[in-house]
Amino acid sequence: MKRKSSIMVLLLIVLAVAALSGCGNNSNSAAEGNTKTNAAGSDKPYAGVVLRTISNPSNQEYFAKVNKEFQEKTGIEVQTDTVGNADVTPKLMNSFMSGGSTYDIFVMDVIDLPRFVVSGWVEPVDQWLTDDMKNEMLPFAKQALQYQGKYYGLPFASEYKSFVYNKTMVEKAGFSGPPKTWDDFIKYSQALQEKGIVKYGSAWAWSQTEGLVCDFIAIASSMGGKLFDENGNPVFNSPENTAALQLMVDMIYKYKVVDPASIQYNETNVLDAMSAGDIAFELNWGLPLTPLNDESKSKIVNQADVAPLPYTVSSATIAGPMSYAISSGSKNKEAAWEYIKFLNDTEGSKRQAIEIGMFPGWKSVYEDPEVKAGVPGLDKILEQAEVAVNRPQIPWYNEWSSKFQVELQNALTQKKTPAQALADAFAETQKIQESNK
Amino acid sequence: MDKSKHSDSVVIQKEGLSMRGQAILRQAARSVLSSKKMISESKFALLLLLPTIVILLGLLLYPFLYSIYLCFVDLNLTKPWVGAKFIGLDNFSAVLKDGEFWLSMETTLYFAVFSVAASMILGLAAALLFNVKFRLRGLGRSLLLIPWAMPGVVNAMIWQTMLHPNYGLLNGVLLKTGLIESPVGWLSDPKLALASVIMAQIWTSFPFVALMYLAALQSISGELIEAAKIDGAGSIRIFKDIVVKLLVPVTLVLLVLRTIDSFRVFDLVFAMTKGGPANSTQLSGLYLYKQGFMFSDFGLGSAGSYILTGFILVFVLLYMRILRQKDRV
Repeated sequence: MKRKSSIMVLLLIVLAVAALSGCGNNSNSAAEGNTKTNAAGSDKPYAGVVLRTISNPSNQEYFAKVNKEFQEKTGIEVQTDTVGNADVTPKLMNSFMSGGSTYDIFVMDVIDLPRFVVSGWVEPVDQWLTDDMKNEMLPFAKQALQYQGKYYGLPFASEYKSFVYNKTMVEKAGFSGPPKTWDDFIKYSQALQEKGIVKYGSAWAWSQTEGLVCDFIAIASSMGGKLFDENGNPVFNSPENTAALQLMVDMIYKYKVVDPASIQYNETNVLDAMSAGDIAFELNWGLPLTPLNDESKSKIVNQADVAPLPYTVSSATIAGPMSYAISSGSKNKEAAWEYIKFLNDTEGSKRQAIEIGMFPGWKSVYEDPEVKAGVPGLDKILEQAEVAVNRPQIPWYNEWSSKFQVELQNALTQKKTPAQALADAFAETQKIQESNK
Repeated sequence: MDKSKHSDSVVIQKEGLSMRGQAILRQAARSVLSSKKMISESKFALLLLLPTIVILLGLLLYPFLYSIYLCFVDLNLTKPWVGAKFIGLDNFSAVLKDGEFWLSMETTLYFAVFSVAASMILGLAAALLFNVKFRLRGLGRSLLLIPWAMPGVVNAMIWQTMLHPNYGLLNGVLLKTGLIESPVGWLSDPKLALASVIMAQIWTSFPFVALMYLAALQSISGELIEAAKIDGAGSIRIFKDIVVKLLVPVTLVLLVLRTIDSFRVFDLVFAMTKGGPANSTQLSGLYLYKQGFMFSDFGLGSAGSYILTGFILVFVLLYMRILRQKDRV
């Protein structure tokens, strides 16, 4: 009898705990539609609305300042949950799983868009987006907002990798300008190495991480390669892509112009090697000349310059843009749009570029004299922004990228031939595609 | 019976009090008695423990039961329209059919065998050394603990820096001494990368082994050694027949703990190699992390975790069997 009642008590406790954890999810709805008083008819139609967003602590002061100004202008209050970078996605996922009303607005990576759209977590913004806005966006930033014919959000932190070369070293080796084609690139690198200027012409971020996929896409695109067709089907075992991977392998083992340490390098390691003057070429994110011209960190101050990535078909580079998007579960979507517009339209984006160095997704911001003066070097890389491509838009991107990285490394470590590695990656991709149907 | 006892005690105490005081005391005694009736001592204890029990159940039992439930459902966060669909043993068969899982298990096995064996040997050697009295022994013992006390990620970063092909300490020393002619890619060569990761794991884990062995060595009675010496046993004989025998229980504990530790290593490879190059250092912990947290396939991740737990259990049972038999001999 006693044992039975103990079991009952235990079961009750477990049920209570389960119920409580359920409550945890529901409590998210407490933040739903925190509309206080709506001063309808005034110039502040959304006054009193409270919007919630989640962010990591970077540029906290800037956003606090802008949010305050936004509140003064519109009467909309923006509350930000500031959490560690690693906690942003899990918390956002929790919000989505419980209806998506905890956070009205969130920052979305380009690779997350298809997954979020397919899951019904992100709201299309076509009804608010004007043609002027669409025409104003840089091609890669515009493409990063679109999926299955609809637009989702406004461009934010629209970064891409830029090709950088050490002008002083290249001139010392007897060349007047940067390498234009991949053949030039190999020739230049060999000359630099033979003259003892550098040990290796270049180093790349080819460790088993996202950086490898990014670099491969940039190189493949410059050689006319494409990874997926318009319907999201893999086409990457094409001769162009195989040639691109073969070039990467050959640059390590045949021509010996790429530091073999690239297989374990990330972008920071590449920048370190460039700053130390150990290599003459790099492909890196952001404003690459800023750290290279920083006397406290670099040995090659005022030596580097940017140029289009070498090519065989046409120059290209890789983009990694973000966007500000609205949650499908938000109860205040119009107010949320007002906020992301305030934060990220051409004016907002210009301010972000000048005050916190965020990359604009709008062409006009690059051409703005204030931006040119306030963000040195930005105008120099516009040429690269115009040819930047995005990674494939597939809902199962993370799973695909993880397998693709391994196959690329199988080729780079000579475990497989490039053709074999890409064929195996193709087969793996078909499997992932099938399991996600 | 009970009641009269308590009434007596109240009667004794009420002497010397005013009428009003006595009335209050009587009331208090009555309430104590009635409350005694309402709740027994064991129930009261349970009540006090309840918050802790709820927290423990919430943080341990509920996730544990939930993870078992996850093994049998197809719960992919990126397919919310599917919901949690019961799929029987499909998650287990999917993991067991995945070549990447078996590759990660093979890598983990190499990692576990070499890192456990080496840390046990090094740990025992360090313990024997620090069991001998010498100057600055205390300082040495304290310094010994530093690698163990270091967070896994910091350890990984230190080794990553030391093994850097162009700017690392190891290649620097080897090049200077002429042992190698060109820099070795410790973490970019698939064959060397796992060995490098194992080396980092040994460095961080052997102090714990040393500490446990040292404690065991110090509990060996000096009289026992003395007696053996009188009986004519030499140092080797004493070590082999007394010290080693008495270290068997702690060895068993250490083998079990270290094996479990090696099987669940995650931070080291995540920070040092991310499983690369070409998955050559992808331990099962990293494989499972990817399934659950990168691909949002929690069913597969949970099923894989239980398969891994099963493997660890086999090892633990094996150790216990072997060492118990040895103990009996």
